[in-house]
Amino acid sequence: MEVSAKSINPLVLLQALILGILFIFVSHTLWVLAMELFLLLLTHYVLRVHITRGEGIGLVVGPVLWTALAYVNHQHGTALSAPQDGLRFLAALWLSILIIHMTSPSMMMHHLERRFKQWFGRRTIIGQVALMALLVMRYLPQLWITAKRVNADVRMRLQLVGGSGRWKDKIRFLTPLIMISIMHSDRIAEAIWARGWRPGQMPVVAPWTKRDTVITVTLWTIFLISWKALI
Amino acid sequence: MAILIENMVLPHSQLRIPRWSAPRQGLYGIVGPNGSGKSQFFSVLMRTLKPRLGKVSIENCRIGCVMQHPEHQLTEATVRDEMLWPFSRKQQVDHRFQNQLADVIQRWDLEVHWQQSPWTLSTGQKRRLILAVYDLLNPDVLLLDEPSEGLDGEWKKRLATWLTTRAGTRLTLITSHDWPWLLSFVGTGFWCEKTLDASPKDLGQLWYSHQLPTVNPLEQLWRELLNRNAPVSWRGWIDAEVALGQVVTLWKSVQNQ
Repeated sequence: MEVSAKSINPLVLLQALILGILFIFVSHTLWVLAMELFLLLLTHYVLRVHITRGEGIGLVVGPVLWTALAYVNHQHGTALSAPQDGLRFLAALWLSILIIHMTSPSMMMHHLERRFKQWFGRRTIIGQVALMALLVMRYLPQLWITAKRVNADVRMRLQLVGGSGRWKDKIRFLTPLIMISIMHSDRIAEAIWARGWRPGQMPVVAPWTKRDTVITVTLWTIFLISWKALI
Repeated sequence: MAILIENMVLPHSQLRIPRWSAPRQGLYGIVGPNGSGKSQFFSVLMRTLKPRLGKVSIENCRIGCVMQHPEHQLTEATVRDEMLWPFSRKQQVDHRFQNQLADVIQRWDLEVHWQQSPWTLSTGQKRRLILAVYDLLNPDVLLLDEPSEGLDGEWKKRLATWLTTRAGTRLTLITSHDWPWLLSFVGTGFWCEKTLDASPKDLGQLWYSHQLPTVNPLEQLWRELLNRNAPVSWRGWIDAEVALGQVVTLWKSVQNQ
């Protein structure tokens, strides 16, 4: 995280990220895109952001691949629109990298959690979101594999005794799934807990300053005016 | 009983099985490095994995498997129910069955856990329970995936003894990275790395010819002796006393020269 932008509230930066990406992807005029890239370059040097080698490679390889895909897919009619698409992707990527260097995503989550808890009470918002993500990405595929293994065992045992099975055998796989789920959720909860998160506690975050209000208002004003005027 | 696999390529591990025909009976190791496709090979035999490439034919064959994770085989609330659920009430009251059950319970020392939930058992106890289940079910082909994991030295010995006594009546295929344990009672095995061997080879020779990473100093010493063509057996290192005897003999022969 760079020192120069440390005091800007992460929620302001989150808004800047969302609005910026939105703006970059809907700006089809070439000079607007050129201006965006110039502003990004300026921000980069003013804030003295030091990108890592991996990020640098990503900034080159990502847009090149994006350009190639855009060209191959022939979505744009002319050959020039493919590099323009690639440049838009470069701008979105660059903006994301700059913002992530100014504040960490976990800080954004903390601030967001605090805001949500102020509105909805001290409920487990981040925990719920994290568990939902884990459920979809890791947990359900794992359960599918486990269910297949349990069913294989049930089938083998029934074959070995020469039985055809009862209705209960069809749902036998649920027991290990539930038990393994409990054991896994325990580990997930432990991992989140070990990182300092507590469901009933308000995260301690830096206070919102007048400067944050000014930046947010400016950001939205620029976004709405330019949206109306240019897009 | 006949199992034949031809021209198969397994997904993920990309293990090729040009032709593999199951031996009729005996104890065989399925050995190879991590991720080489040993467990996937078992999945093919259990018919839970059906690769797009290749053909598998399994005829008149009752297969049982003790999986690597015993949790995938526990579906009941007590050890008793876990053992008995596949059997009908009529089978359960049969005298012969009851004698068999008593033998199995005694062999795997499950009496103290009889009314306990399988989920409260330790990993080794869970594995013993699943081994007991398949001991009672008595399949023609028994697949054991890392069966020594979680078992203490005494139970590893007992498992090896049980498997040896049943070697003449069934085919048992064992995957394990526990080389000293496997070498102590299994004679031959199939090497599984990129391609699954079509015919079994001496397990000691397989251990020596595939330079696997070693952590046991005695195992390292033995490799060194074999590399220098010393007249020692491939399996000498698994038993400290045997190793000592062979080294002393070797030392005496060197002295005499």
